[in-house]
Amino acid sequence: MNTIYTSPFFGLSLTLIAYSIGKYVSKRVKISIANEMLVASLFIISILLLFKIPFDSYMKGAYGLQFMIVPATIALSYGVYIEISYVKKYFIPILVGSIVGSAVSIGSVLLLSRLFDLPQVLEASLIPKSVTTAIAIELSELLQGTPSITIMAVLFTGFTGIVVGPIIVRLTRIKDPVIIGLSFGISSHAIGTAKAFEYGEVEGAMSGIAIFFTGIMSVIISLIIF
Amino acid sequence: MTLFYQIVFFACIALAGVFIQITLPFAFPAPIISMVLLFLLLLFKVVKSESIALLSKTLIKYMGLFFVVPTISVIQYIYMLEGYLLKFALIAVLATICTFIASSSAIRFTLFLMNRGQHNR
Repeated sequence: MNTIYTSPFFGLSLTLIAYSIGKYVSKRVKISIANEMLVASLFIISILLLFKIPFDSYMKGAYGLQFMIVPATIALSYGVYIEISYVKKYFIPILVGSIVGSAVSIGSVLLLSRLFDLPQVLEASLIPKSVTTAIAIELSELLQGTPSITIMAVLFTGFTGIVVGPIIVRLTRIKDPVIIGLSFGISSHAIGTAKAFEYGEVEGAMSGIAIFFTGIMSVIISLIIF
Repeated sequence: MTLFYQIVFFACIALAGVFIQITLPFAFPAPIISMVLLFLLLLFKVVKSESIALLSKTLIKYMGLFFVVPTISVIQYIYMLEGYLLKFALIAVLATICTFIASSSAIRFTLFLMNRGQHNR
């Protein structure tokens, strides 16, 4: 049995199978909390703990998948480009929303972290929380945070956005699809975009565009502040 | 472009990002540089969107897969959250609410100004 664990194909296969299960569950359950990444991660952690498989053995095969984060980040450009008509039409609101959203996100994390006396490394890991995972990891490393902790913050943020976002939309009586879509993308990245698509196509497209611009703005603002 | 050349192209864009990063006088993440670079190449029609569609769509569709490993790695660092988990979650929640309200208000105000400007003209 040990030979199976030590094979590089073990970690790779387990991750691919777990992700397929995650995709299947998220499609069937259709609630945002059943996120494919979260389901896959919980499945793998359960397998590792249940069979007492060393983490290093798993990582031997799975580690290589992380290299694909860079090309996946680059591919975000394509997603924005195919919605270029929206970018041209609403460029100023997109830019203003991304700048304000990024500044408020970073500023509120800094303020609350100091208020709650959070250690420096956790503060740095929290700062990229509103940015899509691909960019959040890069920003976390740049700020000397811990990327894995940042991913937790990104997930917390995404799920908060899909729970409180619709309440804020209702309370503030926002009807404009552009405002709804951009707000979800700016505050709660890809998980928020999935929610925005439930409102409509325009909301979803605007949310996807917001992810791209908020990512860039967050990096620039963080570099100016730190 | 065939799938193979799309992979070659993405690798070159990633490398170009690293090259630009080295030449910059300040720290800036190379993947973000590559992302902006590809966007500019598409915008100025240096690269046709159809020629990189297959790989781009696949990477976007399965993006979550590449983050499974870093998510699991949290078990190596979970000790860092000991005694801070509640505060950590609370900050994430409060800051997200602030971000949502601030960004939606800013966009609403910008659209209002733009509409008023068009109306006046």
